[in-house]
Amino acid sequence: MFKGFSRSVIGASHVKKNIVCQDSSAYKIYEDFSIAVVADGHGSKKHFRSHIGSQMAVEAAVETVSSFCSDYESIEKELKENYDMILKNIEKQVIARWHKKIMKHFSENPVRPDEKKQFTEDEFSKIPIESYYGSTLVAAVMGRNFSFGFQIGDGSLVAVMEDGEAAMIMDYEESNPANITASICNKTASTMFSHFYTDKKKIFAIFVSTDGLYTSFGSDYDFLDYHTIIASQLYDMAVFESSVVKNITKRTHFGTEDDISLSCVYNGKTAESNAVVLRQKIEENKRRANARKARSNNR
Amino acid sequence: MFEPQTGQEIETEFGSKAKVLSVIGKGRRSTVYLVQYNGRTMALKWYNTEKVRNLDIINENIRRNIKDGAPNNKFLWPEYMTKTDSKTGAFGYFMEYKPDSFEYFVDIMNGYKLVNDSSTGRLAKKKVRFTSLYSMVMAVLNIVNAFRQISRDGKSFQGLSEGSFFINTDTGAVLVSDCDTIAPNGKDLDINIRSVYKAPEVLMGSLPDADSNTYSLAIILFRLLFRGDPFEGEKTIMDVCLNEKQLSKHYSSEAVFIYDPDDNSNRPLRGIHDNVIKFWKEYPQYIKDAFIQTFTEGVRNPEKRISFEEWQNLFIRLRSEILSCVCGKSHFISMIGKPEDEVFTCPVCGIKFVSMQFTNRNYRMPLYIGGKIFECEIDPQSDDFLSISGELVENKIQKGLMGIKNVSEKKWTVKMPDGVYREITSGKGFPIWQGLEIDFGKVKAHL
Repeated sequence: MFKGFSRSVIGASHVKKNIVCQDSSAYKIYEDFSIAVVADGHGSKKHFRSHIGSQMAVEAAVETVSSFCSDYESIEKELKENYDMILKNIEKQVIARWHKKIMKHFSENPVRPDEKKQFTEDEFSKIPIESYYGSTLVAAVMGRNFSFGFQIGDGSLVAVMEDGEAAMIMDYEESNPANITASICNKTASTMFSHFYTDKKKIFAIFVSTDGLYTSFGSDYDFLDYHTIIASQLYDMAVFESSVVKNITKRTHFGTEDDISLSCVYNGKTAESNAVVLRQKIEENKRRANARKARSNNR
Repeated sequence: MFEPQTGQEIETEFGSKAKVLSVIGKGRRSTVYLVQYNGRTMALKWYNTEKVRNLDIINENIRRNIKDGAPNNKFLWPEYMTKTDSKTGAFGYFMEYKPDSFEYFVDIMNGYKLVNDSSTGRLAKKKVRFTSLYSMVMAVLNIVNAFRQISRDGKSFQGLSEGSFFINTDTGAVLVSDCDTIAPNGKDLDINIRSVYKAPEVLMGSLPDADSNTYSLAIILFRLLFRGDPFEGEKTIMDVCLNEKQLSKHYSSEAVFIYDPDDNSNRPLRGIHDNVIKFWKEYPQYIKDAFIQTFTEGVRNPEKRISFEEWQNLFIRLRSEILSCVCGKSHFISMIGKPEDEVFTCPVCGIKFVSMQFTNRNYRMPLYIGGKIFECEIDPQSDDFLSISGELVENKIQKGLMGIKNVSEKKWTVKMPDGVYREITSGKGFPIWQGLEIDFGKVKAHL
């Protein structure tokens, strides 16, 4: 029933500075549910292993969700009653797995002189080990009769409904301080997640992306319309893949020129029949976009 | 379901009316409203008839509590019942309204509360913290005392949660909420509260009683002091728990204390339990030992649990071991020295403080301006942890010179710097000096 896609491409600014791609992404398909994940390793110098941290965040999310959803009937039933408690448990387990992974990596790979040379001894001694690996994380899960997602730090989660409407459906924690970047490496990171759950919305596909994609667009409208457009191509994965990879690679030259990761899961059964509806929606979105443009020019 | 609306008048069972002003808070089982009744601003707790399965038992218990009366004025005790709605059977009760100076326990646990930012119109986080170690330990002592009061009346808490206490973070004063769930020992109100507050035997089917309340007190104290859960560590986190029933085994049959010295399978994790990891290091061993005993042997053997009186004595000691420096920082002396040290040095500013040795204990009390000597500390028979007998004050003429002022009604005998013993009556003071000896009556002390 479910299909998926994921790709991370290096940002133009990273190519210029000869920095590795710090993003990671993955998807995993099971019979009853599917997971799409992206993670954006932090860019500042104290996060010098963030490309590894983002990979481990993605792995931790996939493993945790796989474990929680392994008894699909149970989780479907329990989510209806206790979704907040379950999602908080999932988020905590993701952090626990991530910590285990980075600590294992750290113990097997002590800090090298070339990693340390950019700091004074005093500066280096103040950086917690977790910070070396700091990353964001956005994950989306589609089950047969529910969807949920969770996120820490920047990034986007867009659901494309069966009628082609695209929406950012994460219940963001309004009170999170704007000047603190939430990260999986933070102290008390488990309190910094946002999440959503729904068993009502008729979702066709969920896309998760790192911040580089969002910042390559001029407005939320354009960003959402983009997701309807690419969702309409999902019925042919070969076409979708080549077109989307080409497009996001191009987009790494826009906005912050950051790495871009895009990952999605969708209902493979209805992809073809939905394509017609989605194409109609794209036309409608184009008309709306033109109307917005005209209004803006008249001001 | 009938729900009171703002502006509506709700009838008490005696026929007088209270006007609903606003909603204070909404939970799964009930909603609490601000009301105006007979010129008093009060709170009205109204039950959700669709979620509370045992309304008759709750109703009977509230009536019993109203008849018995509150143990003291620290309890937001039910005062009047509303008239029961004839169609739905819904009802509520009136109680005193919590003053604004009292914070929610859960906000203290989280370290913040959500407030409306008038400049942005958005919700913003505002820090909620104890203003001093002293106010925190006072809050602990007041909570212990609330449990003792309930226990003396042969009752126990059955609906304990994060919402059960309001605390003034400046003074440590405590108000007890959820008093409708305080019931006689052995009486089952069948309240479905979170596993994390229940004693293991209650989770396994026993009725709440004094033993289970000593355990619940330890849970509340641990959560307040260490801002975390005593049983949520690696083992609990890594288990897939989809509901309270599955989670409850980690608090009963398979409970492992996160700092169990003989079992490290459930240690707290960074990124999740950072507060516990940080605060556990800051407390003296005798406090940690008390929690270790309650949450290891005490899980299966109620006799091993620390009693209310023992908790009170431990925290009276902890209060006397606080050092508040003029630089603004406070420390437990265990963090900066040994209990038997004669001089303690503030690690922040380096100022040195002398300490006093009492004849009835084997640890010393640091002396600092603003410090207090309580009645229970100079009278071994006294249970009074609130009354202050002596105050550490600064000499009004000679700034920097510290003395002790007798604020009790009793006479003390003190060896003065000239070597002469003098009587110090109420309101009088004497200087701190190297050869100081004090006879408080039943206890003596010297520098």
